Amino acid sequence: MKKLLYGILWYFSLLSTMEGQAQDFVLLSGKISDKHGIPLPFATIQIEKTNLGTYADSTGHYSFRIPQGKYSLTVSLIGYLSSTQTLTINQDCKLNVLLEKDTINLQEVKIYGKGNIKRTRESVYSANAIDVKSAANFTTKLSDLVNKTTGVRIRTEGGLGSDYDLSLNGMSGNSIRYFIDDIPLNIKGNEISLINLPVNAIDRIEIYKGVVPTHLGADALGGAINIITRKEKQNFIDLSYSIGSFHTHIVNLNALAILPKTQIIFKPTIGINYSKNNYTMKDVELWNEEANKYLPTDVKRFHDDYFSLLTQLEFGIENKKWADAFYVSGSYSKIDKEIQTGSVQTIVYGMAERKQDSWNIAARYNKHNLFTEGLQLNAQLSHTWDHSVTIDTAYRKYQWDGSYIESPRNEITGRAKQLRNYKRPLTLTRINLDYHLNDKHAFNLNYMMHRNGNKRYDKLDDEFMPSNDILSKHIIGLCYSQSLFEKKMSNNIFIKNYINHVKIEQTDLAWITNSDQVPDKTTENNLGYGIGTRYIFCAPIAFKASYEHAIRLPLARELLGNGSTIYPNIALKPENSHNFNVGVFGSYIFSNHHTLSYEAGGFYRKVQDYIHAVISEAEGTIQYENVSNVNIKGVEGELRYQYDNRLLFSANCSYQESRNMNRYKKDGKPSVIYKNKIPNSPWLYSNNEITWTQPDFLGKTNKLRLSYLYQYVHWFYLTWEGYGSLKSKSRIPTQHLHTAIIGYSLKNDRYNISLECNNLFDSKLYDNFMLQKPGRSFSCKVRLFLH
Amino acid sequence: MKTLNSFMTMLLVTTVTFFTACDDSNDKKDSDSTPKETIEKIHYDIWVSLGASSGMGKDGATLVQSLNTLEDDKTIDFIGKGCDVTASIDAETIIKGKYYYQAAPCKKACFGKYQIINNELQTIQERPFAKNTYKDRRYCHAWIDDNTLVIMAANGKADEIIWTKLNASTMEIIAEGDLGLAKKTGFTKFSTSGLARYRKSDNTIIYAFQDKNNAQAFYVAFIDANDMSVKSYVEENRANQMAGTAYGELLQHKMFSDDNDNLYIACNSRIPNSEKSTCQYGCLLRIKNGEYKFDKDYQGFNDKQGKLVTVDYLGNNKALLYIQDPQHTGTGSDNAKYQGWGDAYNCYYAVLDLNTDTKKELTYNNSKLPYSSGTFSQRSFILNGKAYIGVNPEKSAPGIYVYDIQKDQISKGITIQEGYEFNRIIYIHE
Repeated sequence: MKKLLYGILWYFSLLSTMEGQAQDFVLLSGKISDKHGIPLPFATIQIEKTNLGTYADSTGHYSFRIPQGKYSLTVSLIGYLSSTQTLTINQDCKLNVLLEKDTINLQEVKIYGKGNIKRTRESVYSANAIDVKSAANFTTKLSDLVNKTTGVRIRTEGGLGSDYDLSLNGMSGNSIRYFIDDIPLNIKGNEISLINLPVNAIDRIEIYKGVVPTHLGADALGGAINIITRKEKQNFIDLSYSIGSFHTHIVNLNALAILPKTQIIFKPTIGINYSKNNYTMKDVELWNEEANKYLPTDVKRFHDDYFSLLTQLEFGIENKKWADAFYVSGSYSKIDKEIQTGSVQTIVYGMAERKQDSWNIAARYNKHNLFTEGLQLNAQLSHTWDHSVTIDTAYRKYQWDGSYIESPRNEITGRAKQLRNYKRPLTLTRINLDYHLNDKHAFNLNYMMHRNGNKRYDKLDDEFMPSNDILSKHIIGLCYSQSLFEKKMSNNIFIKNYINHVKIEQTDLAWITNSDQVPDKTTENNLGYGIGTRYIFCAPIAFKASYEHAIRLPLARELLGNGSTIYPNIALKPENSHNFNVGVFGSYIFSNHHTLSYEAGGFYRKVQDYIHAVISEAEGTIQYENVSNVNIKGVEGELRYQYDNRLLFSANCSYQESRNMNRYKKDGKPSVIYKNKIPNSPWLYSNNEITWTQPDFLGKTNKLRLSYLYQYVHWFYLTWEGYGSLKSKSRIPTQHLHTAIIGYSLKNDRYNISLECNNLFDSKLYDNFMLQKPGRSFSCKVRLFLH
Repeated sequence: MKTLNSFMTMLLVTTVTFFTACDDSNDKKDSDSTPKETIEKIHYDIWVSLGASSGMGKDGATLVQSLNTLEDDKTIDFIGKGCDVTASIDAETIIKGKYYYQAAPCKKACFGKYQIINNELQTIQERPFAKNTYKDRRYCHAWIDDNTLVIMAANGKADEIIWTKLNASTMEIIAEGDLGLAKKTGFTKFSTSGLARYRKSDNTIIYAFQDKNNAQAFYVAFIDANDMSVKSYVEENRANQMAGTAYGELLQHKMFSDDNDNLYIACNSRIPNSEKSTCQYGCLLRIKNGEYKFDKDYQGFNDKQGKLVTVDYLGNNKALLYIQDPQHTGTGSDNAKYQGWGDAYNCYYAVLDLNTDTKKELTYNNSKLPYSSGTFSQRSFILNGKAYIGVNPEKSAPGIYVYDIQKDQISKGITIQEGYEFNRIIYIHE
């Protein structure tokens, strides 16, 4: 391993030397700001008639090397008029650019969004980026957008607010870590997720597959999803309301106000989701007394109400001597969720509920040129109070028609009445130091401390043993980045250290939770590392490859359960994986109107001590286990064609194969399922979209948008496919999901309305075995964007 | 250690009843305990699991393969063969005649009757719960006659025992209620399922249960099978507990009746000063036919060495015992220490003479049968004068030995390809 490391370092230094000898470039640097001196992050700096260019960083600074000569340089950013300057450069020079606001030309939104997305896609990592901001007019759930991405599959258990599992290149949902602005998303509450975050508050979503940048400070095994909130620097209000089938209502508010005198910035955000989820369950078994048997019957769900509220107020200042940005925020989230079924739909509940309340306070600080030029500090501190309750107090047994009998036991566990309380306080600290030595070499040091408590008690069940477990982890990452050959080549090398500390008090159900197999206090230290490279030969052809030895520490939920449907497994070990990605991508513009772009990639994951959700149909419960060794390999690709911002066609397809690599069973004997495909996992799926946008439709600043989406998921077996007769094996059937959207925007997206029909042909759809998803549904979204 | 303790506590399951599947309703006794009878037109179902051990809240895939004989010298596998019942029924099930019976299959709120034909599970009849509801796998049962099945378990709070009497042909509920044991005993916490057995001579269901607040003794209630009233109950403190408290006899055989319809109950007690509560030794206790108390003059398997896992009656006052004993099998040096218990290859088969209480370990070709692992399995049954004995050895593939009871000879039967979790064998009427 040491030899390999030295070899890589030697290679990096050699590349630097070669690049230094080969070029005689000069450094162009500067700052992009508005007329008040407020920095404008992520502005695009482009040298005309070349493919040279860059983006301003989060403090508005930019730098890149160009050959000596005379150039026209254009700087552009959403909401601002572009600025073009001609200059002759013979030596290193600084150029600061002021941009003026443009309150009319909102078409620049696309330039802004695409800039960041392009930057993510062209990074050394295997990454996708989703432009949420452009989709805000007709999207109600972030999970819908993510689910259309190559290599991503979201399996939902029902309608709005239902539990879901996201897999990324074959890794299960909990191997994927979620972030909001580079810090873990669960600071907003354990139940806040892609299904209930307000869409209007989000700029874009970055999806990292297999190899995760160090600045995220993640112990993610299969990848990370980083949700980036909007960063406008002007007053605006963005309000939307969506009404849909099954009594669904979604309200989002996102705004920004700058107090003129003090320049204090206020950012309120509100997201409300409500649905009765009373969609029709087709052909569920219902007892028919006359027929003396269960008959397939269509019934409506009757106990699946979901309500979520997320409110947040962030306020702070920017561009002071002592801080580029300093913000303090407070947020509150509340989830009320009725539970309709167990892990299969033959298990019907009529009274069980789950509730959650979370409070969060946080502060973030950002300063560039700290102590020395090129050194930037990002620091965050956050504390969350999270309290969830599972209510299982009804001695009833329900049928699908809503009728019930009085039962001598509760609904979920079949035991005595339970009011299971979980208090999971979370303290999080993140410090990120980014040092740009020059435009070629940069270093990033990231430290994240994550401390999660898990206090459990039950107000009714006197047999339940209260406990107070603590899970804390420290993750340190160091990354060296290299940019060579006029930025055609990028290289990253990084190392991560994971420290996990667990204190366990719970000892009940030891035969299930394995609480007697581990000491009550443990500290583990694990090392991860990785490397990535990307080379752009020309616009149509670029190549990238990356590798990470990733570690993932068990989540509190995996280790400690959720009190109702997930049993704890205290003996869970961290999972680790060797993740490899290769890919080619590029785009080709012809006749100035047609753009064809593509991405194709392959991946390989060698996972050890893989943490996998094991569902017990008999129990109706889930427990996470170390399934040990799994190999996953796959290919994926995406093709996009665009004509003049009018016609967009995109198609992607993902194929993956996960195999059990445990040669031996727990008892030491050979396993017959060695090298068998892991069951109950989708392995072939595709997303396709065609969109027509008609500009100036019924008005110069109005536009009409028509979209048709088709999603295909191939069927798969519930259990190991090679064993047992095929006719006796349970299958999760093929899905064909068709969605149609029509949207109309007036006055440059100021007023928007969209209509959507999901599951157009009212198909019976399943992501999971015997958990039927909604049939055909309609929704209408109205959005007001004032600025 | 605690895991094993709890594990073993949950393992207390017996299913002699399904061996009783006899079409001859004139037979004197429940046919499970009638090894002398000759039953023809049967096949054998082998239950295995993949991916994880079955039961105990964990699972992978559960497969059932039907065979015409277990006595072939051949190796079977499940590649493309057998019925995958993972999502339909559990290995912990009531079996009688041609059918499998379950309460709350897949947690569905019903009683169900099923049959596996041509590698497919067929639902014969289902009937929703009416008043009493049961938790899947956690109940006990007794056959009053070939067509009347009684299911019993503690309620959710475990402060009373509920029962349901079913017509096994139609799965209609004949009657249901509770035993009123809380009032009668003053106990507030009962064992999850207990063990139940019907005694024809006086139309009584003998029900073994625990007061969960008393770890030193267990109890037996005598229930009038007509109206399910409790005639009386007795305490037994020669053992800590009967060998099954949570899963009845849905998987494992924990009781048997001899030729005179005396009922033998397998029991276990914690070894004094042992490291963990799972370190136990067993004994057999007896309730004589017609009696309403334990036979205080009898205590079998009395050398306090080894824990009783399953028991079967061989006839002629002999019993087949499946015993977990780390010291005997060499996985541990002292049964009071936890080392050697757990999933090790620490179980063996022996024949116990109920008259003399002498134990003889079974041998094949002058060697002991290989020691097995797995204490939540039922790999033996008695049929047509033979005992079919499944082993799961450390050094070789799982297999079945056939013990000719009259000849006192063992021959080798089928072998199961290495790599499956071998859970149970049963016979099913054609």
